[in-house]
Amino acid sequence: MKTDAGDTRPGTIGPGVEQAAPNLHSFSGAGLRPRRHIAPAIRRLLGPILVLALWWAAAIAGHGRRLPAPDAVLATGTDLVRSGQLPDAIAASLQRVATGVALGVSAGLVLALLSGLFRIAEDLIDAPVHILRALPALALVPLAILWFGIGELPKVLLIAWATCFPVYLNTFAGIRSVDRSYDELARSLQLGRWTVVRRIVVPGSLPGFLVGLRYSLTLGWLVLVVSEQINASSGLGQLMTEARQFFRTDVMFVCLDSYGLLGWLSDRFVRTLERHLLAWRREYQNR
Amino acid sequence: MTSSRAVPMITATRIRRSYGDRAVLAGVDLSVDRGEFVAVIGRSGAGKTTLLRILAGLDDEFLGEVAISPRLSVMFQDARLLPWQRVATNVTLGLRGGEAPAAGARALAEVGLANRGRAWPRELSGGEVQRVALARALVRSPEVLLLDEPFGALDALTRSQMHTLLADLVGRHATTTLLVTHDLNEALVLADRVLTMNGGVVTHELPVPAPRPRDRDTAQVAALRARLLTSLSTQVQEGSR
Repeated sequence: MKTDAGDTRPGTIGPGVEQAAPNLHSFSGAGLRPRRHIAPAIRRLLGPILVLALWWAAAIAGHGRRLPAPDAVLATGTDLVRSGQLPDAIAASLQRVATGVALGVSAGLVLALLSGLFRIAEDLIDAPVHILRALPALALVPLAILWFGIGELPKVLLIAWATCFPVYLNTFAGIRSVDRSYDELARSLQLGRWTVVRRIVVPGSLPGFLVGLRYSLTLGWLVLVVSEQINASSGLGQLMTEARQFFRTDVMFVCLDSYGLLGWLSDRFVRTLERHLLAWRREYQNR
Repeated sequence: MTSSRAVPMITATRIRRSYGDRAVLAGVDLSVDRGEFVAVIGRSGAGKTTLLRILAGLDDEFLGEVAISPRLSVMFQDARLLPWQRVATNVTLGLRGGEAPAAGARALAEVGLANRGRAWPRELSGGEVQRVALARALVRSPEVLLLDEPFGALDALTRSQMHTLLADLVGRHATTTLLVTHDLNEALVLADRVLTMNGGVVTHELPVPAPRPRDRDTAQVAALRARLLTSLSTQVQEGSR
């Protein structure tokens, strides 16, 4: 607030003279701004459409020799579906990933629960896990072939090995992140150990587990691709290997697209899981 | 309040507790009779919460003797609802048997949240959260209720509503209650007896004979408040010496 104390010059200003108006900045509201509404589904498609357009342009520029055009890949894909080759290959690959991830995730989860709940188990498990997880799964491929041959077993085991660690690490971190003050609550309510595990530890570590699961699925596909490249009598990897021998880049693209699609679908699967299991974290306006 | 024969439900004798070199409780004696409501006031660091935790069995690194009914419930300042369980499950946490859901629903109805059982704790206001915590404390029909500044984080209006609700519920169930607070008015509106703590000991004791329901603005309560303030300010002088 500024008062014009300097204006009290004798003779010029008498009592009761109005003060100079303060210099205010005035403005008015604009009301609700009209929003441009593009349906979110369409907005999300813009990126993929752009990629497709670039692919097409590149294919045309190269006369489709190195890079097959999207329509050629679609045609080849349709043929492969009709002949049953692609569905068979996908089924074989999917089964490997599903079995491997199921094994790996279960093992990671059990180990994390043991480590998180029992001090002695933590001492026994945690340090070795941190050493073993430093081994790249891909470096184990030759050993896996020597030990388990070239059938399904080494592939499944490699996937299980790789996917076990993210689940272990994130679930264990999730258990450790459960607020210590709930211990006190549990004691004051005289909760049994089983109730503490079921009502506090497991739900509290679920967000961590789901993060681990997501990493695991990504890793599962990665390890699958590598193990199938090296040796496979069925599955997408075998289809790829054949395609390479016959210079069929269109078939290779069908396989690559299938990998992409399957990876994306498994990510959607975890997201759906999260939406249901972590409903308590989201703010519902009404329900 | 004053039954013909007073039965102590909480007795603490010469309670001492120190953290390292610092003595937080330096010999506290305390007795609360059946159905009595006692408030403990004092500034932060006076040892109030430490005393309550010892009585609740959450801290056993103390010296001295405690005798307390095993059927006790604790209510914390942070309600400590499990965010991943719905309100109804939070209330019945640890209850066993087929009657648990019905008992939980009754407790929720008592605190005025009959239709919120399906809600997640996140969806509740601060006052509602403390109501759920109160329902969880009362659903086990405790003989003793220990309250650790349960309304400290609430706004004045909600707090005063909670006072009415709490007075009504513990009165109806004749629950022996020990409330730890730094709010003089809260203590005076709710308690039959107010203890002041300073420097790890109980320094004053003031019975509150005012009739219920109480209004903090009546002359009688104002006079008691003045006495409490005097006793707290003499403590300050003692403390500064």
